[in-house]
Amino acid sequence: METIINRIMYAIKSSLKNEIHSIYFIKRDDLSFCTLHNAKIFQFFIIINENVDIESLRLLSKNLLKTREELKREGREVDFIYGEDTLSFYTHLADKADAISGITLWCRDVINHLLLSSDYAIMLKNLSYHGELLFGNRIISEWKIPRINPWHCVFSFYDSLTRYTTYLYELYINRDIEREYPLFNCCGLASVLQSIKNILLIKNVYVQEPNEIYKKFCEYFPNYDEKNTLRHLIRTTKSQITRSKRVYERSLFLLNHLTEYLLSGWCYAGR
Amino acid sequence: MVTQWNNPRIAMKEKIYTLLNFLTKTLTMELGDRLLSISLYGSTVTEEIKNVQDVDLFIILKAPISIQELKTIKVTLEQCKEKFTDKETLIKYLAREGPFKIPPIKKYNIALHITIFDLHGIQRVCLQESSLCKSFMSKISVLYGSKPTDIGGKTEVTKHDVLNNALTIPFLKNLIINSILWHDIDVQSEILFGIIEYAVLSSVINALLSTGHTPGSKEECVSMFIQQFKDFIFKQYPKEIYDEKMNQKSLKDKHKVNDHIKKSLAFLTALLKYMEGYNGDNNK
Repeated sequence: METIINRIMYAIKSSLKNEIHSIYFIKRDDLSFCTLHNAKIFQFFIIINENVDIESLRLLSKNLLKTREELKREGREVDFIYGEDTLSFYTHLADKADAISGITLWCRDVINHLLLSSDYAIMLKNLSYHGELLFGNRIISEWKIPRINPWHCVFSFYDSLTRYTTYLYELYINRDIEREYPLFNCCGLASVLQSIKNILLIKNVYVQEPNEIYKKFCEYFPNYDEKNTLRHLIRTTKSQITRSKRVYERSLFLLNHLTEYLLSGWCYAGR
Repeated sequence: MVTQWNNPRIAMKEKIYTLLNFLTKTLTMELGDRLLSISLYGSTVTEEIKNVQDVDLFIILKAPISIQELKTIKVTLEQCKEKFTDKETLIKYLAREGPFKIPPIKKYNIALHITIFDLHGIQRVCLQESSLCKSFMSKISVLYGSKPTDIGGKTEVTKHDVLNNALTIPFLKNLIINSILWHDIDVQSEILFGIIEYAVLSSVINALLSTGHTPGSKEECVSMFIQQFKDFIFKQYPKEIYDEKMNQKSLKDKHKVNDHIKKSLAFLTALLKYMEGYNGDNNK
């Protein structure tokens, strides 16, 4: 996997050259836990000049395609997705990639606004804690981002319970649950685990591994009353995903239940 | 669907409303009192009809939405596609938050853009998310049930929202930057142009809302922007892009689209700076 990461890094650096301020890298093992083909997921967040030359962006696009072709000839399938939405990674995995690399470009002048945004707070908190600075200056650091509260977990645009719920509804309309059941199961599972992981941020707890996420959640939110359903769902991450709608259905149920739990204020009664 | 109209805009409008009538009737019958609202927003409501027409719909149900209810919506959308597609009419649908653009393939191209919300989902949109959504809400046509703001609530637009949150000016700049990687200009110039138009006009709506103005149509929006932001260096650019979108001639010309990428990025960079320093009386 290191070779793939280095090759992508080379494509980025050689295309954007002195347009780059920083490159952050994050391994998404928390999203790779149950992938369709044991694929690895990772993301690059690249901060570039505010007046970036679009020719260098086009060169980046070409060089990434070139890198993809070269890797394919060597027997490794890598797919790229552009933008911030993590659940859309799974729709690409349906194409049997060995690795998925998210590439997100942020202009330097935009970063100061993202740091103040309630919509980006969860994403940036996770990036600042789990991410690795591969190049340049540490523009995004944890202390610059507001503390996560239940409101962020329920209502923010990225990584919130209501956003994941809407995404699952959209998935049903746009894709075929009868034929693409692993995709639905992955998205369902990932959205619940991401939500739990993000709810733990309220208590300033950072975790990535599914069992650890569950353990910490039980520890910090002992009064949550659907722990059994949650445990059953998380168990699925270790097993072969079966041909059923149950995971998707349970995920929708849990997202809704967690939303009600946070809105009721019960989450404050924990540790 | 055979049309009796010679005017393509009137014919397109007729096609859209026949389709919407069918969709609304079927969903209300199938979903009963679980359905809270079907609301139309965007350019169809403001009657800016083109040969590629976005038909933007919010479908709101009581929480939680079941698989059976989702299936009903999906089957109904498939029926719409089957029933109203013909030699000269293309129907595509997608459920998605964010823009949905299709290229012109037939004489009439309808992009049915659906967003499905339960009660908490619509609260997110109404209460905080973006000033852009708040603008949609101001010009909305309720096809069934209640207005989304009557279900989800209402808040004021602040300068903080416009400068920092999703679907507002910084987000829209990032959207164009990342779209250059996504879409190859040689083959998808029309889609890129659609995204540029969306980003520029949406940022203008954001800027206007933060100054207390609520534009109705896109046409009104671009002329209001020229009036309200007199000292802004690129104040004419949104009108330029709106006019080009309406006459639809140059969208396949990749050199022109390339030029618009550069101009739109310069526009958004400058608008972000302008709004940072905006205190309500920049024009005095």
